[in-house]
Amino acid sequence: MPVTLVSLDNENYVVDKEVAERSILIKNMLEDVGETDSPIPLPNVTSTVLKKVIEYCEHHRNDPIQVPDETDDPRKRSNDIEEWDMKFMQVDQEMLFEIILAANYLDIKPLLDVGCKTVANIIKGKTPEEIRKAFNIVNDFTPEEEAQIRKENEWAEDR
Amino acid sequence: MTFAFMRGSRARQQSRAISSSPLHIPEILSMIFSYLNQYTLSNSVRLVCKQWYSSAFPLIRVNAVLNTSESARHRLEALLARLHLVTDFRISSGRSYNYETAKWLLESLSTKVDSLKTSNQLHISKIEFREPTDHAQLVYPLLSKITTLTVIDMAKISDDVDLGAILAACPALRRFRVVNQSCEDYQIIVGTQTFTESGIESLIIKGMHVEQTGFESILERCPRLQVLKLDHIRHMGAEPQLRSFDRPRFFAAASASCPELNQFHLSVHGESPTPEHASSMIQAFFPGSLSKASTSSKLASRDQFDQYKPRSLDTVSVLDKDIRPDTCHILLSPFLDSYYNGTITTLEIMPAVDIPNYDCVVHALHNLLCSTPSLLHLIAPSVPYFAEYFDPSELAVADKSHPLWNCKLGCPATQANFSEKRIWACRGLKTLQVRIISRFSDDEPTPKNSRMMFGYISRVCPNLQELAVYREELNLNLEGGLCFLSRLTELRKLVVVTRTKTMLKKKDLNWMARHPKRNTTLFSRWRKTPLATSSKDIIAKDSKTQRKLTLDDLKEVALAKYLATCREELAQGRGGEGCWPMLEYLGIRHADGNNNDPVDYLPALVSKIRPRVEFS
Repeated sequence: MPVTLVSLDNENYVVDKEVAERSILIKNMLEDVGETDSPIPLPNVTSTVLKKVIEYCEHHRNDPIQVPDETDDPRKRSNDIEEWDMKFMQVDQEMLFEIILAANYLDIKPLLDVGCKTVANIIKGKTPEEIRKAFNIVNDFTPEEEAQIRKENEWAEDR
Repeated sequence: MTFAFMRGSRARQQSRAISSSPLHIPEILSMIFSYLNQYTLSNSVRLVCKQWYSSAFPLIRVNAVLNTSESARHRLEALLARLHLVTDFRISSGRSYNYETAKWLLESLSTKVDSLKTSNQLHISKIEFREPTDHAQLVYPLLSKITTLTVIDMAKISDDVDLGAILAACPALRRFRVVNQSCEDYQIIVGTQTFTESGIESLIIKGMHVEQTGFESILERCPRLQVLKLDHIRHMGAEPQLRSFDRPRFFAAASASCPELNQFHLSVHGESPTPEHASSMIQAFFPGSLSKASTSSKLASRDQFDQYKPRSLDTVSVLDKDIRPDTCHILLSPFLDSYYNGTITTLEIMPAVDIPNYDCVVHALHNLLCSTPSLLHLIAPSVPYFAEYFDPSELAVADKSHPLWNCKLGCPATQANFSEKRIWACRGLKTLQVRIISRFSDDEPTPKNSRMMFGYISRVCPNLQELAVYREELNLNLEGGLCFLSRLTELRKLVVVTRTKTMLKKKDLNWMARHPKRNTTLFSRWRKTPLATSSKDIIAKDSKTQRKLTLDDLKEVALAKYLATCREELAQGRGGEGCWPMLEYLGIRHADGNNNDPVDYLPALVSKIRPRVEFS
């Protein structure tokens, strides 16, 4: 059964139900209201981002649904991104952030994971200053506070 | 119908989130940071801004060492002043132990812990004892004061341990390990503290005295226990009629009290399990597996089979000496039972102090490896495995007149030997820890012998993530075939231990810096491609011309795809890791470990070739 999704800028997208249900938010909504032809408004997602998200869901339509696992491997890896996902995430930073926010809002855990891994890969190997520059973040530490943090770990190690 | 509720409070809440950057949302920041290592978190992330500092704080492990030497006093004062930051605590006596310092420190520590608890600033989640403390009577009671503990690891102890008191005091405790490595008799005290239920998930006790009835009463209150290992414990008979550990009673108690148990081990010092004991263990944890008409055959369909399937262990853990001719088929029976063989993933054969019947163990091990496709982890570091099993040439032999009939290791193969020449079924193996010996003759460090072993392992188990091989005679030079292991693209840990004095040069290990050959990678990529489940999945026609594709066409497509991926990887700077992109630890060790070890120069050599890999 097709489902119509409506973006913030009133663009309509007709997708298969199984594709739409990659989003747990939409899945729960459809379960709550039962079968319906009414369009589903997604007022927090623009059409450009929604198109990207649908592309992701289409590609992963047959993947098994991820069950939240409390015993997650503590040594999580950011380098185990699938080839297709890696290509999918090759977008500018603004779009990357929009996709992450949409995945968070629509509750699409695998997409959120891939987005977070991509940002983690950007952070890796950078100094604090380089990270601030990459993400346009303002340093709100005083020089004293910064020095104090740098010292925090030194005192404890004694091998 | 419209989805008006979307415009309700939830939508407003989400709207606020969507309008900002994900880097300002603490939940998303925590997810991103969870993919970063401790070094990046400590040295980069937390220095970016105040919000990142707060989000990274719970993920940063601050190690603290409690060193009681006099020279460490100024550090100890600093430690006490910043105890609110500490998450991981390590207790060590230091090189020059000082009684006064230790006493002062432990008393101060106790007071400090109390005050932090009051102000809700206590964050210590892990405590570790790497060596026995001389102040056990002061230190051990501290454990039940630190109520935030989730992990207690006591690798060496010097007093009795009150498990009851700790479980009662630490509601967040998930993992507890205590190992007695000394000759002293230390016991697990069950204690009188009452607690209704503990959320502990892993309990490992080694070399301690355990009183069975009291311990069973603790288990009754640990319903979430997943790992229970009592290794070489000593029986403490509180009840006069209980002269030895009542294994059947204990198996029944553990399986009833802890329904989530997936790893279990019990070995009692000086007591070997009889076949009846072995049967009772299998019956308790794998119901129905020993009955002639297995439960699975009574069930009509696969659905029924899955529906009524009782929960069982995913790991069988035994001592090597307990695998005897009379117990072997019982202990390993779940692996060969159609009902359970898909659910058991791990076989752990732990080393015993006594000398086991190795012939029996090695035959059982080989049979199991050749019959259990679902096996993922084989942890048997002390168990020998015959090098002859790696000789595949005999497999091709149809009759005795064939020139390859003789085993490559120089011994005539018997009919019995020939019949054992089967290939491992466990192609998905992820962990392999094993000791290789020659069955019929003295092993020799010839390149051929080494190549045969490395070639076999890398071909038959391409998904290995951890490989630890002990073989006395091994050739690690280039011609010895260690480089075959570069096929193991998932490898994270590799340890090779040998007694052979092999002089390694740069050329012998240089291959570690290179990528696997193109065709090997191509092969592995094809292998990893999931099998088609329907005709729709098989692309056998050119979409434009509708011409049927030949095998050569498909090869070309795959090669083009592979080259594109390589170019992409190089462009992204991911091409510099060499083989084993996930490797974290590499160990090439000499079994004697003496100072004249010819591999002493290796760390410097390997660090040039693989600078990011930990080496020993």
